[in-house]
Amino acid sequence: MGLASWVMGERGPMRQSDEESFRRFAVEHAARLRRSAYLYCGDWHLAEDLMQSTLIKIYRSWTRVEKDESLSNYSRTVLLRTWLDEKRRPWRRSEQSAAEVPERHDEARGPADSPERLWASDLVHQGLLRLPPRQRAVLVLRYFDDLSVAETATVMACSEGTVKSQTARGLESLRTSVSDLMGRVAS
Amino acid sequence: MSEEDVRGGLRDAVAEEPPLDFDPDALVAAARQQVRRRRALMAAGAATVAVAVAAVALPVALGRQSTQVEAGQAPTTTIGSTTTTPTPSRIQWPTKDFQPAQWPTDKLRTRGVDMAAHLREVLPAVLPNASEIEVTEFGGEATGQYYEGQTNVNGTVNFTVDGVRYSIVVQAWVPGGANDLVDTACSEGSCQKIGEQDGGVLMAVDQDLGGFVADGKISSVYHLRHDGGAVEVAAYNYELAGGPKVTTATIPVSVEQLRSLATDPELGL
Repeated sequence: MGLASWVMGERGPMRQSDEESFRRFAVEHAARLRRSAYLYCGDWHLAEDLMQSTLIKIYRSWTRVEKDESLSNYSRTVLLRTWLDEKRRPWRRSEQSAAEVPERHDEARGPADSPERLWASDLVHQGLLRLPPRQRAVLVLRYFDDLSVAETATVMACSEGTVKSQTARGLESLRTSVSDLMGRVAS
Repeated sequence: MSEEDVRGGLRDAVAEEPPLDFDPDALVAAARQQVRRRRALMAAGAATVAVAVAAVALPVALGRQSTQVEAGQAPTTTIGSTTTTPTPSRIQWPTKDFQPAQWPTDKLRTRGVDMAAHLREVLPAVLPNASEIEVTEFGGEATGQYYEGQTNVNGTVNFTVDGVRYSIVVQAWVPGGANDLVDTACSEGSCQKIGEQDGGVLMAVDQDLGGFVADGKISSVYHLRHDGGAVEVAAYNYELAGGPKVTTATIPVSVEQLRSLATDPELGL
């Protein structure tokens, strides 16, 4: 194999075939990662930043992780850590306070769905954005990514018992949060 | 609200996503650039250590007494300059012999109030050139907010120097609440071990915010404490309140000033 077929990765030279496999992975998973990031943070621009940062971190470890059968879940772990790290940056603090409940449904979202249904779906996400970060994460992983308890525990690096308790607590908090939002809108 | 309602609500929340303009070539180029930059920083760190060792060794060899900079008289920090002794090796922290702690929200809230009061008391002496010093309420994700399982608190200080407003953020973690702090901090900017105090490690990090905040810069000192807790004091070259407006490249707070706050026993969890 000639020198031209190697490029530099974090842990040393990366073969061009490895880099190609990374590109395929990135193209295949970029949209999914951005959607999850949006559910975590509630802002599409920040979600795109988080997705890019996540993929760059995966690139740096690609030669080590590319053969891993659970690569999709590894990417979920990296995204979650990237988001939690991002939340430590104080200039992002406005993200939380910006998660205000819409007073009515967004007309621009399309006429196919009824206003009531759109408004209700907004409430679920707005309610989610009021939860503590790890409760938010567990609900996204369980009910959006449809991961099992065991898979969620692996992604979040915690025990299955913690996933179960966080899920129960998260659902309860979400119900309370949505009820509160509905009350505020009604009044 | 059933579990199915939650599934449906989350699916609907992303149903109207904006188009994804994703360029894998640009992503790979950015990733390669980051790798090169990290390598260059590591190489620069190793080179500076060699210079620092020579600078110490030569006067000793010549029988001269070295001069010391007095605490509190350190020059103003400018991001990118190396005024501290870096280490190219990974900073080993935390040590294994600490007890992780979990603080209830009431305790965190009380400690946050105490830390804000302490800052109001000591900051005029620590930042003698600053005026209009305001210390905000501490919190977690947002000012004044605390939640179960929270492992850190942070608060912001806004102040004026020569007519320009700046900010400092003080963050503190409970023991065991920041085990990945070294990796995280060192992935964000150039990190250097600058000493040890009270059994803990002092680490300085200079960060260029790049695309997040145009021309935004942060100079941080972390006190990675022996009990597994940590305190970060981060100075910005702009004021956080009201959206970042960067008008100067200089951060008017020295590493020594940041260090004196980071190691203050009244700050920390």
